Amino acid sequence: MDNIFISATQSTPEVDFRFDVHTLILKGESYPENASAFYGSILARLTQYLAGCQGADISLSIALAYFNSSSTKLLFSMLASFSQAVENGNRVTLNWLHDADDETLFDFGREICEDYPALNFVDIPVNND
Amino acid sequence: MDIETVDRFKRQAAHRHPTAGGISIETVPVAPEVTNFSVLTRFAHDRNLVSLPVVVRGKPIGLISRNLFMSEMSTPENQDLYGPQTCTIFMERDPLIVEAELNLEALSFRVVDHGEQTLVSGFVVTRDGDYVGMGSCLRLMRMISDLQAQKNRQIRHSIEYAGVIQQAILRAARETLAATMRDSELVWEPRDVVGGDFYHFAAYEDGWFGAVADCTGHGVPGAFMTLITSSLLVQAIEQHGPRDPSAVLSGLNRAIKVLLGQTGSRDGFGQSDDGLDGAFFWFDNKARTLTYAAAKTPLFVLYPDQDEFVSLNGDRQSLGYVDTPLDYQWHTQVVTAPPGTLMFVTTDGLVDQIGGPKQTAFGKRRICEALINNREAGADMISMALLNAYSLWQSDQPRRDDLTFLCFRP
Repeated sequence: MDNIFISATQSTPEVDFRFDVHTLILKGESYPENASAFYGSILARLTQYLAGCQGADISLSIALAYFNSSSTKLLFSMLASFSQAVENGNRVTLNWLHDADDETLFDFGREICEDYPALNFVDIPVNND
Repeated sequence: MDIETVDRFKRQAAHRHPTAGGISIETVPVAPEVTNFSVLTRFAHDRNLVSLPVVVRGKPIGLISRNLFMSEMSTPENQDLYGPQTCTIFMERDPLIVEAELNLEALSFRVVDHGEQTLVSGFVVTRDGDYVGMGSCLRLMRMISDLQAQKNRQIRHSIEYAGVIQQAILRAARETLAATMRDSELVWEPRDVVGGDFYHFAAYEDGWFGAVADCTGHGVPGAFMTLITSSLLVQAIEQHGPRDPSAVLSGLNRAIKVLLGQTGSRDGFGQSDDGLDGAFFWFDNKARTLTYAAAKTPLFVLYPDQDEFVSLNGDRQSLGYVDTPLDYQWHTQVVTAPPGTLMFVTTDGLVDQIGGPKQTAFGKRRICEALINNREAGADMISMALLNAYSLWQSDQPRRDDLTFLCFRP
């Protein structure tokens, strides 16, 4: 399984999925004109990777300062796949990184924590002072 | 015709037929036996001649570039030495040769791939392999930028006109709002010329119905969604009446899912996974109650005798989208609104806008602060103060989304 690395642009995040070491990072902002076009192949590869995982310790770090509603939808389907992976006997830690003063992102993280209880949710406020 | 007229004529023709042939210039070629002396004379007599094609029996075999040639022939010694020799010694043997019907976009990629020298010496144009003329890269670039500007203009005009249609649809609702509630202000600012946010208002004898919604996406696809949604909303209100916003929401959800074919299983290609978030209201004039049902769109209420906003949260289920059940029922909440109660509802464009010292979201706290600090003013002034605070926060950051909010005292 090849790793994925996609550099960030103004409207798409950096995708750094190192499947070989079970470390996946999404970082930046996400408001592409066509979210399915951007995330489609990433999700397909992710699904393929998760299907092959057995008893793995997977670390997913999300540091998105902004995401639009279509990206949110795709983020949710990604998290649903991770929840499924937990049911299949893997452990998934979700590191939710956001600026310490950003209440909107903190609230969003809390919702994710409630909606996807299978994931080991870790809120990581970052001081960008 | 002088050269400029010919040039303008060619450019106009090229706009209609943007091909390599359309921008080529007839240049009398030389035969390979021709001496460097003759070539020197050609270059000396024609200052505009950038490169000279070498042709044998109609087929181009190479290109003599003015810069390279002139630098080789710059000294009298070299002129004496090379002058009598045939011109092929200074000829590039692998110039870019393209067929006349090649379109300009493909041509520009070929030029870039062919390397730096091509940018200077240009390209040879042939028809069925036979020499036709020379193409200059400067002329190609000028054509490409003309075509680009023309395309952009077309798209911009098209979107601007779409904006006229979108605003026409919203105008009636805005007029109804202004006539129904004097102390109210609605701000609708699409990020681009058209957008995915919309609102709806309808007045009745015993009250009014209102909706503020944010469809998937922004720009043109967002605007498509608002047109679909606003006409389905009108139908849902006709069917379920305006007094039960939850029933209107459910009706609208069903109609969107059916229209966009989201009722079956996920089948990949061409599948729509679009929908909307929004707040839907019915205000009862006599009882002074606001019935509220919403998808991911909170309602902020500031009672006249209180210091803080009360926030009512809608359901966390959007309308439409493949994942939303066809028969989902949104919850209804009823708020009593004594005279002077300030109410506020917004799409996420206002809340989530990045800005401030650390590029973070504007957030609900700052919105409520701006509203409370101006609570004595009319809804229009309060909204202006909020927009000011928002603009200060946004500063030089680009708009991320469409923005719509409604501030009112029912």
